[in-house]
Amino acid sequence: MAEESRTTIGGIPIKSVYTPEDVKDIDYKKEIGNPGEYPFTRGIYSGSKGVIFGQRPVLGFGLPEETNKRIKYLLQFGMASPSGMPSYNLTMDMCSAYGYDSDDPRMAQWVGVNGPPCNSIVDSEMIIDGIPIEGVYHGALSYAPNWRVAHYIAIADNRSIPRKNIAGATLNDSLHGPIGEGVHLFPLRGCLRLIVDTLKFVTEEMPYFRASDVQAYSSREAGCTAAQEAAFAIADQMEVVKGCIEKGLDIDEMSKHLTFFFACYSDFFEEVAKFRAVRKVWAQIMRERFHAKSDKSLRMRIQVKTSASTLPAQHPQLNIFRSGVQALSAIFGGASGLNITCMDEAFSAPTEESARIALLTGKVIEHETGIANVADPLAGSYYVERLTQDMEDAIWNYLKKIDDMGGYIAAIERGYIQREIANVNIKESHDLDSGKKIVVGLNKYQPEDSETDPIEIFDQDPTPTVKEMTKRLKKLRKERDNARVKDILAQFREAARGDGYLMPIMVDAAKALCTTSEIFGVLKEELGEDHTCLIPPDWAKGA
Amino acid sequence: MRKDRKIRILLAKAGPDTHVRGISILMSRLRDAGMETIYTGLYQSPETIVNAAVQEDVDFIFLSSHLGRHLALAQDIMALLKKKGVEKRIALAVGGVIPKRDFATLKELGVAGAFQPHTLVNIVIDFVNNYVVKADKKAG
Repeated sequence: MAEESRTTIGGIPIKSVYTPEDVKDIDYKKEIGNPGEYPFTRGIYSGSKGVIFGQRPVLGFGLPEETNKRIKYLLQFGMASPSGMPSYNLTMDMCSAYGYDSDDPRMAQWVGVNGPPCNSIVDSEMIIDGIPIEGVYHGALSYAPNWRVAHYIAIADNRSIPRKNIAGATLNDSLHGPIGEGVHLFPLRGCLRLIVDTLKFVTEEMPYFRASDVQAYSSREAGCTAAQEAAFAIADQMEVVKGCIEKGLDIDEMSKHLTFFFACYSDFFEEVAKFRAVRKVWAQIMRERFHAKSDKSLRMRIQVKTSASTLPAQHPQLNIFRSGVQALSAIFGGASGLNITCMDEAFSAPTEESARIALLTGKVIEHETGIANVADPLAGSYYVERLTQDMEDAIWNYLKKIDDMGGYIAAIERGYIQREIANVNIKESHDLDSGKKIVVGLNKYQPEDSETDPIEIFDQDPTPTVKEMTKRLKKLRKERDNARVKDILAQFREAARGDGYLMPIMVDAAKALCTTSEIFGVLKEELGEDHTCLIPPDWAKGA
Repeated sequence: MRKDRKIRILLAKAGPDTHVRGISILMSRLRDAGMETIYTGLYQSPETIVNAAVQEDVDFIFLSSHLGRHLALAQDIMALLKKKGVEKRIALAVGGVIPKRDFATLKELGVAGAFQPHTLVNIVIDFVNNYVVKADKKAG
C-alpha cells in the first residue's frame, strides 16, 4: 500500500513507522502531563489510583418485574460503577421514552420494547424492587431523563432517605437526539432548558448524581468519525455549561455533574488517541473559556459503550472478540466506565447469555490481563503521542467551525452536523461495496447463506406487556387522588409555560402518581415538538 | 413497474424507531443509481406509510426497522396495500435488525426482500433492478 494512502478509519493520515522525530514538538509537561494532572491527556486519576473502570451493560425489556429480574441476575456477575458500587444501566421502552403511557393505541407495538415501560413511580419502584436506593449507583435512566430522576427522588423521599445520598447518573442529553439515532421530542432550546433545569436541581441537592452525560455514543453510531464524535460532544456540553452559567449556576459546582458517554470503534489506536485528546481539549475549554477554578472541574469523566454498529450479523461469535478489543482501547484510553456491547446486536435485544458474556468479557480484562494495573501505559509511544496530537488538532478544527456558526445548536439548525455525518456514511458505504474497507463476514469471508440464525435470539412480544400494563394503569388512575393530580398538572403547566423551575414539581407529580403521558403531554404542548433528525434537512425534501 | 420513468422508492420509518443511518445512506446512493427516493420522516404508522406510497405513486416501500417490530409492521403494511388494491403495483422490502428466522415469514406475507444490517448498497441496488425486470416480464 502506498504510504500516502494510509489513514485511520476516521481519515487521519498515518505513516507505517514512527520515530522520535514525530514527537519532537510535543512537550511532555505542557501537552501530556502526568496522569491526574492538567491537561489530563493521561487520565483524570493520579498514577497511584491506577486504572478504574466500572462495568454496566445497558439492560431493560418487558414488564418492570422482568427487567428487575435481569438487573438482579447481572448484579451477581459484578455489575458496578467506576467507584465500585453495585450498579445497573437502564433503558426504558420506546413508548415511555416518547412520553406515552402503555395504553396509548399509537404505541401498542412498542411497549416493553428496548426497555421496560414506566408509566408512573409504581413501575420505577418495581424495576428496582429489592435494590436499595442508598449504596447503589443508579445508572443511565436514559430516556425521559428528568422525569426518571424525579421518580428516584420521590422514592427516596417516600422512604425518608436523604436526597443527597442518591448516587447515579442520567444521560439527560436531549441535544444529541437529532444528530444521533436517539430520542428527540422538543425543539433544541426546550431541550436545553430541561437539561439545565435538572442540573440545577442536582447541583443544589444531589452531590453524587451526574446529570448531563453527553450522548456522543449515539452520533458515533449514526456514523460520524472519532474526531467528529469528540468535537460534537464537546460542542454539545458547551451549550449546557453556557446555559447553566446563564441560569446563575456556579461553574465549579455544576461541573461535578457532567460526564461524557462515548462509543469505541475498531481502529484501536485511533480510539486510544481520541480519549486522550478529548480529555485534553475539554480541560482547556473549561479552564480558558469557562474560567473554572477547581481542578476537579477540568476532569472529563468518560463512560464508554463499545460500538454496536460494528457488530455484523455474519459470524456473530466474532463480535465477542470485536467488543473485547474495543474495550481494551477504551481502557488504554482511560475510560472510567465501560459497557461492553452484546454479540447479538444485529439480531435483537440481548439474551441473558449474551448479556452475561459481555459483562464477563470486561471481568476477564480486569482480572486476568494485567492491563488495568498501570495508568495510561501507551504514553510515550511515538505513534500514540503523534496520533493524540493530530486527533486534538482535528477536534479543534471542528470546534472552531461550530463556534463560527454560533455554537452547537446553530450548527444543527443549519444542517451542518447532519451533513458531515451523512458524508462519512456515504463514503463508508462505497468503501464497503468496493472492498476498500473490509469487515470480516460482511464483504469478505462471508458465511454460507442460511435460513437459520447462527445464535439464539431474544424474543420481544409486546402484546402481553401491553395487556398487563393497561390493566395496571386503569387501576392506578382509579385509585389515586385525581384532584391532587389535576392540581399538580396545572402547576406544572404554568411553570412550563413561563420560565418556572420544573424538577421540584415533577417530584411532587411523581409522588402523586401522575403518569408519563400526563407530564409529557404538558411539555409537548408548552415547549413544542420537534422532529429534526440525522437526515440533512435539504436531503429529505425529495429527489 | 412502469418502464417510462425512473424507479420510485419510499423510504419509511415507523413508530419511535429513530435509527436512520441506513435510510440516509440509501437516500443518497439510490439517487446516484438513477432512482427517485422519497422519505416519510419519522414516527409514521402503517397507514401513513401506505397513504404516502399511493400518493407518491412509488414502485417500492423500503421499511427500515431496528426495534424488532418488523413482522407486525410488514403484516399491517401488506394488508393495507391489499386493501387499497395496489399490492401488485407497490412492493415492500424490509431492512435493519432482522433475524434470519423471520425471513420466511416475511416472504409468506408477500414482502419482496429482507436485508440485515450493513447489507452492501450494491446488493440492494441489484435487488431493485432485478425485481423490476422480473415484474416487467410478468406484466408482459
